[in-house]
Amino acid sequence: MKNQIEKGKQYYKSIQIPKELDEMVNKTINKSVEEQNKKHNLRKKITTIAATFALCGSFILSVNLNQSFAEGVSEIPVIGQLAKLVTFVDYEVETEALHGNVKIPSIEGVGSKEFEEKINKQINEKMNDYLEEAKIREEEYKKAYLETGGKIEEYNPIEVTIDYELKSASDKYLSFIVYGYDTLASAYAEFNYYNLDVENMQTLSLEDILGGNYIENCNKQVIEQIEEMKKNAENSFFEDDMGFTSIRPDMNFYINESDKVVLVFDKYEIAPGYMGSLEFVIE
Amino acid sequence: MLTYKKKQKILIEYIQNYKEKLYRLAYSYVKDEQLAMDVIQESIEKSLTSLEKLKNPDYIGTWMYRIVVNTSVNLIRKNKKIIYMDEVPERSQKEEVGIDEKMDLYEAIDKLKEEYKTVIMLRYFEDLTLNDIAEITGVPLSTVKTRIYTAIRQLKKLSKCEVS
Repeated sequence: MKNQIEKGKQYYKSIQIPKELDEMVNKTINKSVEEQNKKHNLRKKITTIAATFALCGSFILSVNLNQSFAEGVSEIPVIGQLAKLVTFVDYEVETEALHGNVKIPSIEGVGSKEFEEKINKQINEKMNDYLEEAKIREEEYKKAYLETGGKIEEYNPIEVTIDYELKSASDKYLSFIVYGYDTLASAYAEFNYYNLDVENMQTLSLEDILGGNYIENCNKQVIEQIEEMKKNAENSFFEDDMGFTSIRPDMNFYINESDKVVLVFDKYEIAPGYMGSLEFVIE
Repeated sequence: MLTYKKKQKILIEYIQNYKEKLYRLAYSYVKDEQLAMDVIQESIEKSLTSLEKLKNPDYIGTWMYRIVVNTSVNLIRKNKKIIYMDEVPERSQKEEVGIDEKMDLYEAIDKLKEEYKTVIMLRYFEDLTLNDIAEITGVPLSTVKTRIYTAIRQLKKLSKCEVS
């Protein structure tokens, strides 16, 4: 019997895999994922519309006080049980000079209300400031545009976007970016990285995660990775003082889904602009 | 709890890594390349659309097996019905039996009822644990054990028949 089973197994293992299997699997996955994501996005959209509706006309930026409203908008849980990042406000701003899409997140379920409020206040203030600044900037730009002979009919409001991106969420960390940019110039883009230790209710520095030797350690890994990337002729980096010398304690980073630190260098920081912003995963 | 996206990623990774295994399993039921491909396609669609039902990603393997087994079995049932309705004469099993050689276990398994076939394939060909099989088939562990014993007894009988 045992022999027979072995023989049967051999036969089973030798079942031919059709050449088309790969392609079919890929296609099916892509199609299904697309459909699923559409459904998810639709849900998001409905919430967005509701939010825009609720806020239309009110034009108040400090919605922070309006708790019950926030609860209404936050029906899009981005992550699981413990800490989550939700859309706190989501609305559009329309002035003569600019058109803004504003989406500000807030954290919740962290365990300490105090910590939560502190972070949320920080996010909110930062992004509201950014929007205020953008308004002034765009207003000035419009003025200059008209004064230098531009026609009002031809003026297009500047698009300002404030949004966020969740990088990872686990029982330990919550890592996300809140950013703002406009179509006027990339110099006005602002990226705020938040790396929270949701167990101990604190914001994390590189040292908190990587320990005392982190600068040395990170430098070594970044250099290695740059060398590796240089092997591809399409990649290039600034050399010497212009290029990478050392990481900075306050540089931007986030925590990825495998709980690894990812260092982020801005565009132009260590390489020509076409390389974009560069990320290095630290092991 | 994981985010939906994360679960989706895990599932896609699983499918990509195990697609060949899943295909063999499906093929063993439907015995036809095109039908097996259909089973896999349908299973992938099902898994991705009902992903929310998967609570614990540790069970992703057994969960996926279950989908493939169920989809295969359903397809066989559906096809059987169609055959009956079209009044196609009985399947070509007689020819197989007529072969002088001792019937391969693999073919003998095909003659078992679905529930026996499933436990044998999962246990001996896929090397799954009894617990996993219980999880996949949705029956208690004790039932899995009885099914395996019964299946082996029947297989022995089938093989003996061939010898005599």
